[in-house]
Amino acid sequence: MSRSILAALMSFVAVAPTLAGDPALRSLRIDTGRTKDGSLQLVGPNSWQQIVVMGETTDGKLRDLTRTAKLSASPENIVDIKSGGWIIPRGDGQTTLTATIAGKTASIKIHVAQMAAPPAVSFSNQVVPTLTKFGCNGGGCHGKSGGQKHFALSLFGFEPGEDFEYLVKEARGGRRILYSAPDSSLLLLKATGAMAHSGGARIDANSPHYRLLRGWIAQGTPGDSTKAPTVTRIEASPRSRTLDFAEEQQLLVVAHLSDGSTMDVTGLAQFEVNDRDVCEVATTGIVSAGRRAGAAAVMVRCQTHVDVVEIVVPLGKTIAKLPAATNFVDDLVFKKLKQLGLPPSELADDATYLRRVTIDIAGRLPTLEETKTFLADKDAHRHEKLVDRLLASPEYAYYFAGKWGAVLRNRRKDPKDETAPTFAFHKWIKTSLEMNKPFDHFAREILTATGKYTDTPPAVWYREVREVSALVEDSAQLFLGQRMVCARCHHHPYEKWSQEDYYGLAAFFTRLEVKDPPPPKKAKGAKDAPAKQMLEVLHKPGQAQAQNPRTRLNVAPTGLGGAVLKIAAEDDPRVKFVDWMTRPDNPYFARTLANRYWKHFLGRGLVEPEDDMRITNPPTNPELLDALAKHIVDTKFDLKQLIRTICTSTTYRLSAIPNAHNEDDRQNYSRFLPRRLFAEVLLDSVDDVTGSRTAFKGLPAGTRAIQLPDNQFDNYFLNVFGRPDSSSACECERSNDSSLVQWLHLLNSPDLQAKISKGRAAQLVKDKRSHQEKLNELYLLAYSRPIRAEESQKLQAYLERSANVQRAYEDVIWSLLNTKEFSFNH
Amino acid sequence: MISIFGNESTKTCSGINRREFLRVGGLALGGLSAASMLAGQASASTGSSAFKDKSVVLLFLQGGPPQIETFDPKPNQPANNRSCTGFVQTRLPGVQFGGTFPRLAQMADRLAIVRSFGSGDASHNQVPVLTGNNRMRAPMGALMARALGGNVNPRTGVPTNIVVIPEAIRPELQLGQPTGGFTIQDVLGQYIPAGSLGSNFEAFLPAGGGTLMRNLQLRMDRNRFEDRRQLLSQVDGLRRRLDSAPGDLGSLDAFQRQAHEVLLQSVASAFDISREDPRVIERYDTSRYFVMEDYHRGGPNFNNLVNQSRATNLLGKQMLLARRLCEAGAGFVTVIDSCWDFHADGNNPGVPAGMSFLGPQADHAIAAFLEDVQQRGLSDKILLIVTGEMGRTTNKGGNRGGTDHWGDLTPLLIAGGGLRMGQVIGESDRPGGRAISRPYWPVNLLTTVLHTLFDASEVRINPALLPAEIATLMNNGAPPITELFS
Repeated sequence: MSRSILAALMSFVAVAPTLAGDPALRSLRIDTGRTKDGSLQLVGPNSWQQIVVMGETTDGKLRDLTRTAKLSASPENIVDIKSGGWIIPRGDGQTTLTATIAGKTASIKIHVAQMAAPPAVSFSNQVVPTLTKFGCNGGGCHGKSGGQKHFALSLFGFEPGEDFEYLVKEARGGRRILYSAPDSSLLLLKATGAMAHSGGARIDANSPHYRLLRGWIAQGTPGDSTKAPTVTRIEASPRSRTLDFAEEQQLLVVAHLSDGSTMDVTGLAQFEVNDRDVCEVATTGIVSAGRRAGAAAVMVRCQTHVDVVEIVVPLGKTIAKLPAATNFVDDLVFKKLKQLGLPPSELADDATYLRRVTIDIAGRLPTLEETKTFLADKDAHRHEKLVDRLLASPEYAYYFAGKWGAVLRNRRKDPKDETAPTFAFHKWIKTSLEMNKPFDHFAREILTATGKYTDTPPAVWYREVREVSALVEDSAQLFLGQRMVCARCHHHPYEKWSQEDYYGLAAFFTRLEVKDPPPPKKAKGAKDAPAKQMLEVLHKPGQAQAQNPRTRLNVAPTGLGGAVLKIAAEDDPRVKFVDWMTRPDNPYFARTLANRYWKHFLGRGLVEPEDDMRITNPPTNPELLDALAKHIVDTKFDLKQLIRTICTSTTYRLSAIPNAHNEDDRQNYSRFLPRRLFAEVLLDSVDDVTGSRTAFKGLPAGTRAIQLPDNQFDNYFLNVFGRPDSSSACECERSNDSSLVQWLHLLNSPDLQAKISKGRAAQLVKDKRSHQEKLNELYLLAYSRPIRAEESQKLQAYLERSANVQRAYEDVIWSLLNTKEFSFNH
Repeated sequence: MISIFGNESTKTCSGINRREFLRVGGLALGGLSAASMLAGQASASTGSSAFKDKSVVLLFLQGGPPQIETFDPKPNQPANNRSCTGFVQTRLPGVQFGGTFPRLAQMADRLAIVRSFGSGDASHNQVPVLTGNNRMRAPMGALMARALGGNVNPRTGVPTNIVVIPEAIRPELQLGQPTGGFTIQDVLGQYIPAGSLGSNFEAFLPAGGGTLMRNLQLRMDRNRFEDRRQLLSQVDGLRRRLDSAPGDLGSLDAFQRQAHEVLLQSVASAFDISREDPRVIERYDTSRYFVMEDYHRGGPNFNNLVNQSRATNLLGKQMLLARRLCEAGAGFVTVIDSCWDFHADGNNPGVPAGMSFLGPQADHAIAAFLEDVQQRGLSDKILLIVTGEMGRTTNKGGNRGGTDHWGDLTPLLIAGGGLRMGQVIGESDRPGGRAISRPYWPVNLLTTVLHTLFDASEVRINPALLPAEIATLMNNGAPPITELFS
């Protein structure tokens, strides 16, 4: 990594010519992100400027020509021009920088001043970001708690004051900083690798970064005065850019300071892209379009400031015909597809849709009856009616109760623990979904639960989510799509949230008492142990506030990005939190729900992961996310309506089979993304097809896996297929990954073999119908579609060839269960 | 730099993610990709011609084993510096080991000790030693699997890259969860993943116990299984239709085919040491060295030595399993022996106490392994490496003799593999804290392993014999530990 930074920073090897076949250049310009009236200021030897040469071709396309244009300065002795378009001041004066390519020129004036009497290097704005850029203060290096090898820095340099202590004061008299011979300072010797350094050689001794650090030492390691300007924001440019395949674009990052000045921080910023198939970004800030069409976001970070650049790489195919849009979802999805030139797949057939939507809403395969009825239905509104039927079915509530129960951490610590609390909470969730309780009410009842769990079942949430930190982090992740955990101990590295924001949220949860004593022991000689005291959640009146551990000051309850709230001592602050959260204009609540449900049905969130909606993790289709959120607010948080809207959309009905252009698309919904059935659904489906139900200890016979009230019922199948453990608020606990053990189980487990032979196979042998009819029924059961003629022929031949019909049916069922068509929702 | 996108963000400073949960149960075996599956890649079919048909057993003494109390005992140093376990003269003139290694001392002519090896990292970070700091962050076992074109021995069906923890011997063990980077999740999170090589080359963890092992044994006669396989290939229409979008079903398909191979090749018995001659098991058995339950939850030492709660007396049997797996066709078996962390703080013992039970067990287990391997004529076929993620500071402090992490020197024992034995390589300074001869680092260990497994001169002439990234490591990487090859 260090090598690659060095290589990239020092020897811009990348060459980005105008692309082959480009039309002629029409115009050329030099961008710096901070040119004023055609000129640019560089103050002192520790300043620099990344420039970008942009050309526009006669067909209106932009091209980054920084690394191909010829750059020259006149007079020559004012600045040095490094490869890649990095301008370093050399002497006081004024010069004209000119870029020349293909007969076009562009120029800017550069003023260089104070080379002899340089201004102090800024510790916070220059030194610390340099240490961050080269990874010195990363969590694996000196930034980890306690530092590395007796040299500590604050994590990612979020606490420059502490860093100054570490670097300058703590090291006083040591060799870390040598004022008499700056180049012999350990700080530099280690950083360049001149002296053995476990972290390797990270900063080249000929680089401007080295010069900066050295300059700071030579100046006597000045600290920041209280009047020193601070960075108020950073701005990356271009804001957005459409790139052709293999095209490159150098980004520029400008810091705006509190005194109104600006500085180039391209060389200090860190860059990261959220979809590396669409484009890559080098440490230098050069974005290169990859091999796949789509949109990506480049996150730009400089200390506590972040910005995002949108990159679009269109496929550029003409879309001959789009299927008819059903609702606003399709309008916005298709708009994006048109922008990308990405033709969508065709509509899936009715059998595929039936199986797909039944699995997604009800967590099961369609029954034989349902399949026969639906495939015979010619009603134009049969899809809408099907969705309504499924939403009214008890399985819908069970399936989604399982989904919510897992992230609401409805679990027993030990499988031997009493089941009453988890069962009660599960029942409450299920009933809420069944009666279609508006989602804001659902959230409110959980977050404000008060009393004994027998009266208020959502009080069970507080069993696992009891500490203030857990309450902050879980509620933020569940309902606001924000991961706050980083901000507990330091400024969130990829968000605007600071510890102040964290403890503002924490304050809402400080007037809470959760009583859940361990079960009393049986007294000697007594027949039974005394009854266990019931879990109870209480509000303790008093001033709600939480202490920010860094400032040691109390913070009043404050919604994220909201106003500080005044809450009377007798009021439960949690109520105010929910009031803030569920207001129609709350920017997080409805969008988080929209994204979570979108992912459930479409296989990929508009933001991924679905509960990490950072500003640096923008949605792939922001308009669609906004529209879905607005729809949720407009319908008063009606969950069933949200599902109806998504599942009846044309987008949801698209086939999973790719066309010639969209097989790589995994983010724009140009086709349905196939995914493996969730563990519980897969087990139930195996049971349905084999006609033999799995038994769960302590539950009535016939209980389906999706009906399990909590996830502590031991089952190997569910474990290997990635059932969540309900031990965090993260949907990521559920694993849909494939593994060898899963297939060993499906192919070869004694359990499964027993199910196949005992249940359906035995029945089929006794069944007097023809093989053809029986095979068709198996296909309807397993795949919700009639068997095709060629499939029927092959399988009939197999059955007829076999000496043992029962065994032959077992083989057929085994084969069906082991296909992708079975284990995937497609 | 931590990544802000993708899977990393599901992991927090304090949390572990779901994938790791699954690994803990021994359930996610990672990807075992059959060689045949990769037949389309030139490397798979040709890699064998550079392959010298050897296996590696890496015994990882995890926690930071002291270099002084193992193989560099410094008899002439002050009391708090020299080996606190005493000294034992080896068969090599002038060479002594720490006092808990009498059996190894007797076979020192069949060992190579490197006294100038350092992991370069003074934290419980096993990645440098496991990977030699290669760019792919792939442990050596994963690199071997990659070089052989797949993670299953095509002849025997046994996985190439395997990690053996005590639970592979006793699946029912419920070992504790030590603090600070020592939980089994933390540990396996470093050993199992294959870095950028991807999950196909992750290590197999045979510790899932019952159902998994049962599932490994084919349940029906082979003809019927073959019939089913035929049938399945005929009915899976969707796979064919979606094949053009490999991201959707691709890896799934690979796993399914691997499962077929594993089943057809009766792999399960390779993991079952009870099939060994009882006298062989007895020779390996180390259970008499200490009562491991003393260190586990509920035991008398649990409260003051919580970080010893993964200590077991099963190392001998783990080494036996490693030998058995190598014979069955495994390529790289990593055996983990935990708890070599001797701070003498509230969680760990000091050096004297820690060495008193871990040292003799290691001596016995390594010696039994080497004797067995020699009797079977496999000494040149199996390379044994014994090391840890770092060494320890030279001076023991306090009345309990605590020491801290030290990355500049790390114990390293090498045996077999056809390399030059009976030598001490390198020299440390007087206190035993730094190399005064040419230092060796994990990157040299990595190339040592590669040069043992693959014919370096063949690869130099024809790099295409191996996947490019591995050929580059051999041809342009750091030199191996040259003394072993002279």
